[in-house]
Amino acid sequence: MPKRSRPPSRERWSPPRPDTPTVSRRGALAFVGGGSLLLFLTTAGQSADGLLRRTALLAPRGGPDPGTGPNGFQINKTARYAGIRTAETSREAWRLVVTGRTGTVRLGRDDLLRLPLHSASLPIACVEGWSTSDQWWRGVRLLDLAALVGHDDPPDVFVESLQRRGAFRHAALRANQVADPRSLLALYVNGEELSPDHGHPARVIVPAAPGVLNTKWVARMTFGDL
Amino acid sequence: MSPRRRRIPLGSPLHLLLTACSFALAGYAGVRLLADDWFGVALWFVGAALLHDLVLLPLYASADRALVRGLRVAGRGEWIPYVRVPAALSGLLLLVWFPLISGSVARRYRSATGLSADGFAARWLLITAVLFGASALLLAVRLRRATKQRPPAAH
Repeated sequence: MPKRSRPPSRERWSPPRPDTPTVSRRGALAFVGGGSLLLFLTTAGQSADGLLRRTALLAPRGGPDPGTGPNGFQINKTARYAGIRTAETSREAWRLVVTGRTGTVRLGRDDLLRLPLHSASLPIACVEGWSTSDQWWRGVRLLDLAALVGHDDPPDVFVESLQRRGAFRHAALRANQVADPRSLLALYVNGEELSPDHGHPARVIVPAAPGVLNTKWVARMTFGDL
Repeated sequence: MSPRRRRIPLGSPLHLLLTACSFALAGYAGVRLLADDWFGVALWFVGAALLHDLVLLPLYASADRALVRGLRVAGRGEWIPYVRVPAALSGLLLLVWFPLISGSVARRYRSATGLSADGFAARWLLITAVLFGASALLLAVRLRRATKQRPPAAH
């Protein structure tokens, strides 16, 4: 009985008329590595300043700064994008609502300025893959705001923004972040009042946290265990 | 006629264990990925595959074919990598940064960053030109070296 003979699998699966090769295996791997390197070189500058930032030629944060002066560093989400109206951030209208163990306190900008102000030099590191260098922030410590509503032992805090839509219009910070003396509710940056695009009248700035936790246009802070 | 016994191609136990672990990891990743907007995720996956196979692959495969055939016919086979690599790298950059280069997200970009969305197309063209220029330079160096090393004509 004749056995059905099958050619070995190497011959069954290889092409019958292969074309002449145009790239070696080494060349193909080198191309992939080169492509990766090119993307890295044209993107890494997003985290640097000055001329180095300009090397990120096609990246979203690679170009010039959006402005000059103290508020001229990179913005994420302008006030217009977030739907913030000047009517609700004016001195008369804006009140920070702080809630804690002893109840609720409503603070205007002048009330905040009467509290002790501290400074911290902190960068903004965005989850999108870019950062700014250290900016000089000045404002009220989160510790002090917690103490104002009866929390001498800093708890977690839930921060809400005037921004109406978007996943990051609120953020939760942990007790250790509140307890850090560098964590501020910033009112000034680099010696000037915050611009509307950077979160006027107040924004949170916390060390070693992604930019999305540094809530802008803060409206309400609820201290307590989350 | 006795049918040949079909041997299932299993590997060693270690191989099987590693494969099972990778399936478990992929399964976990799949569950997490599809947790929220499963339709959107599926749309992207399937849509990307379709877009690549039906649009991008014919485009770049036929362009590459034309290039290779054309250069071979013209007797310049060694030029192939010097044209392919810069073209492919430029195409990679175009693919990754397509929304900004094409200007389709210009308004949203301006609203989110406060920066102008002009100039991305120009910068991409500039990078493409530099890539091709560098490749041409390398080709020229290589051809010159080959000419110098050519054996002298026999008399």
